[in-house]
Amino acid sequence: MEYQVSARKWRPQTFEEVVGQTHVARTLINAIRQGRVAHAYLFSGMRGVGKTTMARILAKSLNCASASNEPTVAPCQACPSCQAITAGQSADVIEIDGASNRGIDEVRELREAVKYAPMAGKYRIYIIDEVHMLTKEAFNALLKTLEEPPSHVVFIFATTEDHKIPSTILSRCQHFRFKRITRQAIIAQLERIIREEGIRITGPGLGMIAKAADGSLRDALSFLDQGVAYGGKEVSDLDLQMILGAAGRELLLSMVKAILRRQTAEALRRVKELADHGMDYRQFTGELLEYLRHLVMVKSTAAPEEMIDLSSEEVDEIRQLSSLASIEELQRLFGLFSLALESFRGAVHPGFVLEMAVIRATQIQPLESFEKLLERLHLLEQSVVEGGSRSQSTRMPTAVPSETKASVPNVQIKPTVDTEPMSAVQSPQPGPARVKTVEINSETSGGPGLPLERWGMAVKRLLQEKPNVGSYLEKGVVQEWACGDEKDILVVGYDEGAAVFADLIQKEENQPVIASVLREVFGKPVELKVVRQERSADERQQLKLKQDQQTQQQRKRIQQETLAHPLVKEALNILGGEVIDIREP
Amino acid sequence: MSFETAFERIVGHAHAKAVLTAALATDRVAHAYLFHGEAHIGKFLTAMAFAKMGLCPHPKIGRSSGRPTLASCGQCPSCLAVDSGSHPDLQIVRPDGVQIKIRQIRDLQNSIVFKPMIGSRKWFLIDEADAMNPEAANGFLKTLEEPPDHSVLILVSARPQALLPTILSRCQAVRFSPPPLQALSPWLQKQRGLGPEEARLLATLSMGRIGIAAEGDPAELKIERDRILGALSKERLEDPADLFSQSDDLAATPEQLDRSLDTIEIWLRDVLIVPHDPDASLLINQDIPEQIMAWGRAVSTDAVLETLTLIHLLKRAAPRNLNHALVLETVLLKLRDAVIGESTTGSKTGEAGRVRK
Repeated sequence: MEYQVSARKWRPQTFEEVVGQTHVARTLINAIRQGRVAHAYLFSGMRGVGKTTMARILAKSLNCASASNEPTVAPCQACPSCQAITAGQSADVIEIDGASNRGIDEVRELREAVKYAPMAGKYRIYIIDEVHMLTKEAFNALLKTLEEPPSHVVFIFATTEDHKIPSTILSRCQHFRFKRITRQAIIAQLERIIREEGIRITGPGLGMIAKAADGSLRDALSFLDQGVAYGGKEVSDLDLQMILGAAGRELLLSMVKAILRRQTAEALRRVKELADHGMDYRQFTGELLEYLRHLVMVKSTAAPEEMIDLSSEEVDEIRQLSSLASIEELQRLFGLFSLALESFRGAVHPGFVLEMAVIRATQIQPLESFEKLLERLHLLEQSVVEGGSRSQSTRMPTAVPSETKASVPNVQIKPTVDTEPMSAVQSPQPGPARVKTVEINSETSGGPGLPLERWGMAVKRLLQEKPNVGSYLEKGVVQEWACGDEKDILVVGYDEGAAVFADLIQKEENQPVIASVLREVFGKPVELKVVRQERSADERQQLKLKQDQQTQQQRKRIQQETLAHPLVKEALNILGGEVIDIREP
Repeated sequence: MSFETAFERIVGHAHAKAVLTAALATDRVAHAYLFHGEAHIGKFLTAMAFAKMGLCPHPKIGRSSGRPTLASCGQCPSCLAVDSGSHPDLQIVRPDGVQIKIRQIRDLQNSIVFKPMIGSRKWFLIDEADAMNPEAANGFLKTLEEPPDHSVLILVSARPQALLPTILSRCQAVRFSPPPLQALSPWLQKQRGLGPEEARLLATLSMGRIGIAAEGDPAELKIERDRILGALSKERLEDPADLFSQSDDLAATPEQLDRSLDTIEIWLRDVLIVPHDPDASLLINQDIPEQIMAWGRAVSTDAVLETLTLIHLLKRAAPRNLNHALVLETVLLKLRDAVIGESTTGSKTGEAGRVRK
């Protein structure tokens, strides 16, 4: 017999053999036992998890001739029906490729054929694979038959994309979702197969295959075949690395270290090494991301061993490395390499993508965390509000000495001018909750002006996201702003004429969106207090005027900047016109 | 068209060759392969050589360093037929226009069921498999999973991520990567009779894309590169009229546009690399490190990265379908901002004034 790839050779023939889909197998077994076999099934799930296999086993169970011609949960594999199905020659089990026979004509033929009684077995079973490729007309032509087929007919649909199946079809089928297969289950199955075939692969080797297979047993078996084709009965880890294009642990580690220590040249040399060994950049980036994820886990959970699928020595190694960067920094790197991973799609020079990511990662100044920046801003504001009198006593985070960091072994610190050390270092303890209230009225509003600006920003954002809610807020006037460590309190006034808006704002359904926008703009939770304003119309007018003035000034500034831009001047020169309007994109 | 194909003549791809040879030697040829890797590096050529080897009735069997080696004899009728493109058991499917259509896949499915005529297997090569349209790709799945025993399907693709996951999972994937410089440049010397310097330059400029290295004229490539890079000089970027006329020039044809974008991308990449590469071993424009250095000094890393992102975006947006000159203008204008923006800040106002006119 010709050589067959493992995925075909080891295709399960009984329900028990199907890996990782016990929830489906058990339901089907019980249905058969109780004689409650439905007339239409839909199997969906990702590639290579056993959909077609399960469909064939079900067909066999239904038609097996050994058990007095009744459906059985353990097809005999010996009767003519079972053997014909295994060989794909059964006259009663019709396997249709939905992608090739996708038109209404094919479905019409099918509808005609359905009427005839089965030749030998009890059922006529139609397995339609890749059913998502049927045309809309074909699906619709199938509806009536699918709802009330002759009693001897069972339909089994299999697809990887159940979202493309019309709901009218879905509601007529019993839908089973196949799960992706866990690494452990894949490894167990691989172990079974290599034992039977007398192949030797190490535990880590099998782990590598299972990881690369990404939940699909067919992929895993395909890698196994390639390994065996290359290495024979004894497949070394090195062989597997080569076939899978996986970088060795060493290379990955030295890359992580170079990035965390911001050694650009070193990291670039590692990229070159990847290329020289013909390794897959994409895959390497994926592994790098996984490692970064491990680092974050180690830093942010108490028992990272549960979250990381690695040996305890490896976790210790990760723990050591994790002292090199803060969580924010790791998050930034994660974002950066995720972006790179996406950029590989359609990249002509995939090597460049990784190189650029590495340069970005190592060259760009570490970010200061958003919270810290905001805290600094708040402190700054306060010191301004208080007329500088108390600014001496307020903590300025920049003043925190960075020496503590230097005690971490093996760390290269890039001296940075004005950024705080990325912190494994204790950040300054927040003091007891202090709330400083700023009265925004005619006397002090000339002071900071900041809350007003932010308020404007928030309103603008809301107008974009939820125009109706934004317009309610727009009518309000900020009266008071209290800045606290935990949250800000914002008092917004509405006069009698706008009272209706005040009510609308306080409506339950509008709360989440307002809160989230305010939180984003102010950088912490903001409590919004809505009050009826008892001010004179005059005062109101003044405040309103102030807000308007600010936006006016902003516009003016943009206008000036734009007109001064050399390109605009050049365009005016060439085209000879005048600027009438300037708009934001 | 003649394919002088044999594994020993193909440069690089040691891994792929070893895997494939082993599969043939141990009679474990899978029914479906996917050869993937960057464009122009010899994937299709390897597929042809593989098929030729598999079809040859008297292959030369040997052993070297513990692994079996195999080679087609190159003289039998079968090998000659493969070379002349007339072997009845070797069928090649290529995009019809820009796509591989379901009709072509159906034709393949009709002919795959027949037994091979003279060889032991029937071989099907699907070049640019990523060009299969969704109907064709889905229609191919069943055949790809369980083709008749005597058949071997080889999909060749430079963009495997554009293939359906269900296609990928049905094939044994064989990865191809550009051959390392150390291998390519001696090969070029031998194959094309180039001097060591020329061969080295050609090897780097082609970035291991053998298809280009095997045909390109090093002197011409260099002239073309210098012409495109000339557009990036500060003086020329500063002159708007020149900038626009250059955009027209450097994007005159779709091929020219591709070349220009590519050259600029490589240049910018080199600009970023050069400060971290003291011995110039990582550079692609290896012959002009000083120029790269000098240009790079005037612009910020951020600006270069931004421009690269822009180029990447444009390339992804299928620049051939856009207004060619406009595509290049966008890039040059971005670079102009980078160059001028940097040089005006912090320099004498007089100079800035002159720049801004």
